[in-house]
Amino acid sequence: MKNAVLSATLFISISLASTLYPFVSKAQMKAEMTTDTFQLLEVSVFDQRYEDISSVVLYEFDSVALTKSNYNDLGEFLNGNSGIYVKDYGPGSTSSMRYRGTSANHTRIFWDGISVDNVMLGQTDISLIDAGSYNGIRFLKGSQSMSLGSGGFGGILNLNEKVSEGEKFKADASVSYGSFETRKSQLNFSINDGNWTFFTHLSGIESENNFRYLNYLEGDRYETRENAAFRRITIRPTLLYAKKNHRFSGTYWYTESNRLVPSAISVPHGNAEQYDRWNRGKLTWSYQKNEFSVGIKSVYGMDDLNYYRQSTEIESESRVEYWKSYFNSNYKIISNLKGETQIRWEDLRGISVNYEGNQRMTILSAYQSIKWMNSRFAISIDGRAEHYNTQDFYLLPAFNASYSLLSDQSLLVLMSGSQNIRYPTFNEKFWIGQGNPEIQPEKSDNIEWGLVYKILESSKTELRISGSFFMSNIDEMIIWIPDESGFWSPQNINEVQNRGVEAETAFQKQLKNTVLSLKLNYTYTDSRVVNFSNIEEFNSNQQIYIPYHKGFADVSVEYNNYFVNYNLTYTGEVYTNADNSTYIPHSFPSNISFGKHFDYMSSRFSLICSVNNLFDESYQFVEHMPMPMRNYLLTLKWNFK
Amino acid sequence: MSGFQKFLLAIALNVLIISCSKDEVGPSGGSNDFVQEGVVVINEGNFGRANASLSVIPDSGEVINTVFQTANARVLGDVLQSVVPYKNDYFLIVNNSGKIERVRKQDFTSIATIDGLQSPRYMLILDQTRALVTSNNFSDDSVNLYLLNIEQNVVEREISVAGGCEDIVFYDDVVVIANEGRNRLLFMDPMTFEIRLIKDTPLGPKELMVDSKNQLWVLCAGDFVTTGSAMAFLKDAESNVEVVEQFPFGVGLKNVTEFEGDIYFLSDGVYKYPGGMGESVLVTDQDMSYPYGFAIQPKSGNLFVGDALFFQGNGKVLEFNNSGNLLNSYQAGVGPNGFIFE
Repeated sequence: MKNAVLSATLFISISLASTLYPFVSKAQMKAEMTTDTFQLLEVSVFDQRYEDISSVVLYEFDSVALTKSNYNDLGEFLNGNSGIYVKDYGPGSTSSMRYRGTSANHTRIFWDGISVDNVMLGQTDISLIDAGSYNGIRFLKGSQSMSLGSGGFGGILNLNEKVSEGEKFKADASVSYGSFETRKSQLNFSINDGNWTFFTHLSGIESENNFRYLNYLEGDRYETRENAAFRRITIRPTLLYAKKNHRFSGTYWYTESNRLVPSAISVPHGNAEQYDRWNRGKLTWSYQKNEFSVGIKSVYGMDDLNYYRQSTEIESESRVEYWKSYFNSNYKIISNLKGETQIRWEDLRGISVNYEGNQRMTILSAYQSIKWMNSRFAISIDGRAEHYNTQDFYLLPAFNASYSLLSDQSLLVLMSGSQNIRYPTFNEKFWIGQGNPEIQPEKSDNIEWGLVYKILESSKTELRISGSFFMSNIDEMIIWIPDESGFWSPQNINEVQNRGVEAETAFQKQLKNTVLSLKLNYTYTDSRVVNFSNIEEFNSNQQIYIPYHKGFADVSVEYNNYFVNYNLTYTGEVYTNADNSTYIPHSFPSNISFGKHFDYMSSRFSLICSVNNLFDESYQFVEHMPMPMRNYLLTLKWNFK
Repeated sequence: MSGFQKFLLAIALNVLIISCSKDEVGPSGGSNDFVQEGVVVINEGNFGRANASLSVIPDSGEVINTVFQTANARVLGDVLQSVVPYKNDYFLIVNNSGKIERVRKQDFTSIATIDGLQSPRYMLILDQTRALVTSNNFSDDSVNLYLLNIEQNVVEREISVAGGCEDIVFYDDVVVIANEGRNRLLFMDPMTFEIRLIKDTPLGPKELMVDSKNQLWVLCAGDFVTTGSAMAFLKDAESNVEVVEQFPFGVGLKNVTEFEGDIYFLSDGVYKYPGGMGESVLVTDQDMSYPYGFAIQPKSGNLFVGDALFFQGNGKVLEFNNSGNLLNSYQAGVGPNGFIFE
């Protein structure tokens, strides 16, 4: 059973690829591969101005970065390639995002513009998403996230798939083997025949995860992680039909994960295990002509989360079902004036033994944006209205503005702001005996200023710096606290103020046979508790699990067919108690990968050696949940071109 | 101030300077020259975070935190449920770590670690060689009682009792166990461990206290859904358990104790039954955010309340005089749930 999943994935991958390959003629394969890339129902039209400021208002991760083989999941990738702090419980274990002083509930996950967060928890476990399973991921920061939905005080991570319609056949695959009996495999391929395109992603990973770590709680001795094995598979096929300006697509997303749940150092694990399964289907239609686009998409999902702990006889099984439909249109009003209209409808159900009966909620929301721009100045005024079947109604305004200080648009300043809410989760409202039916939504005001300067931009050299300053506050923040009886329940008792800066530099230089790229990022976040239930001991302290300092450096060099990549992630001290009396020390884990490409016929093979935690550092992102010491991974990649 | 007290104060100040700085995650190790005289604070810690601890408030008044960790260069464990003094030692019952640590009173250095228990809660010394430890496993076929050999510091026998068990006391030479899982009291022979008698209680019996009139007070927690806490008592072994006061759902009760004929308990403040009867009256709720532990110092009559501050960080200990006036406030560890007075 242990190897069956990966063996099956690999077998299916190779079989499908080799079966379909002969149907594509040689002439077609040798045709020039200029792509007519279709992004499955773009959420909004990004004009060049928006692309210019994108480094400030969002993170955009391309396929090259995402397919670095040494990351087990999206959480590990984000920790090393963005200013997002990922609260990572360890390889294969739960991980969630924190950004600019917000918590996991305030950084949301969307799939092609539709929320897929677990409505019971209000967040997504990003350790269940493979880093390389999407080739277009964007994280819309703060106020920018209002264009997709509410609740993303920190931002919204939008998982997008870019399908290459012009290429008749395209495929890539990889297999990896590494420390702790870790095995990974992945296959992506697309086939195009006239109006039809079929694209699929398959991946699997499993690991004993019995890594060595330093137990500093009991005399600084090295121990082996127990009860931490995991395995996960993901299958996501898409069928696309395009004719004239219309596109129809259907996608099915299946992820299944089985993992043992380790405990904190020096705490018995109790034989805990967790089972997750995502079943999601999406249908889309879109029409685009010139500057007008319209589209409808619909998602049906059924997500299961089951948790068992033998020692305390816990058996918790829950299911979330949802049906979400979304209408979007982008249009030109007059020459410099554009509009965007969205209407969303969501039907959510939570099924759990921890609720009194099944719980249900419907949400209807509308979004309108008016964007005006000339050669120097652009501004959008946005508004989102949301209605919940609990009869709650909210109006949420937002704005974005940018101004080009130079006529060549190389120096831009921008400003954005919004009012936002985070509606309580099902667990916060309906948990038996502990949920709070009177709980109110959290509220946030956000404003930020930014600057982008393209110092150099040519076909061979690019140097760009960007920076932003942000401020936000969160009122009615929900915290679970015990009552007199000792039962924990959610209360609106916290108020937080956040402010900080983020700076990034990106450099790329292409010489004769060499490509050099460098990326640096630093984020400073001051996130203070203003009023925690009138407890003086906590006021004015930094929020827990929000580091003051976060940054990364990523360097890549490619010479002829040799390449090397080095990534260093810095995370400052992270407080773990509201009175800031305990903290996790800062950490500097770094990873290095090196290898060589081999071209043969129409394929490129790559052999990659990765060393993670190069300097054997003992570190953690969650108190007493250790990360592995130095470990290794060997990967063979195949790319059909 | 005597020379000895000055010496104690000097040690306390030195350790206070060290312990007041931010703590990195992990044990720091250090001096084991503690001399314990005063109040020992039982800090339960957060579940699953291995941050249970002990604090000491010497008579000089300067609190000393993490005394076990300092003495033994390792953390105590996860969820310190209770502490039982025995001669020159303490038994520390660490619930989620499934162990009992035996330490010297003088300096908290470890004597032995008793492993192999599941969810231990409270302990009763039977005699010089034996002790009983309860467990709150809720399945009917679980082991909910352990017999320890306290000469060799090992588990000698496992005793199956249906339903989780909480507090355990001697009452009329019989062992009485609060069988929370089955809403009853079990009267057990301390030699044969046979159940001689069973008496029903209100929902969720948790704590027991024998007063000076040989009445057994039973503090009941209610259930998770609709039934609130109840204060009950047993007049004598021949009687049934009577409800003294039923509280609304959501009101918690803890640490029933007696002082000079009055019966005290902790809820959202300190309350008492004057003369041990009638309606409860509020003594004090001053400066309390989340009162979680309570005891009365025998020699002074002062009230000690542990405020857990909703388990969001280190808690604090509030000391009141017997009239309820605040005298002192000390920083403790996470979740101060009880006190030992020396």
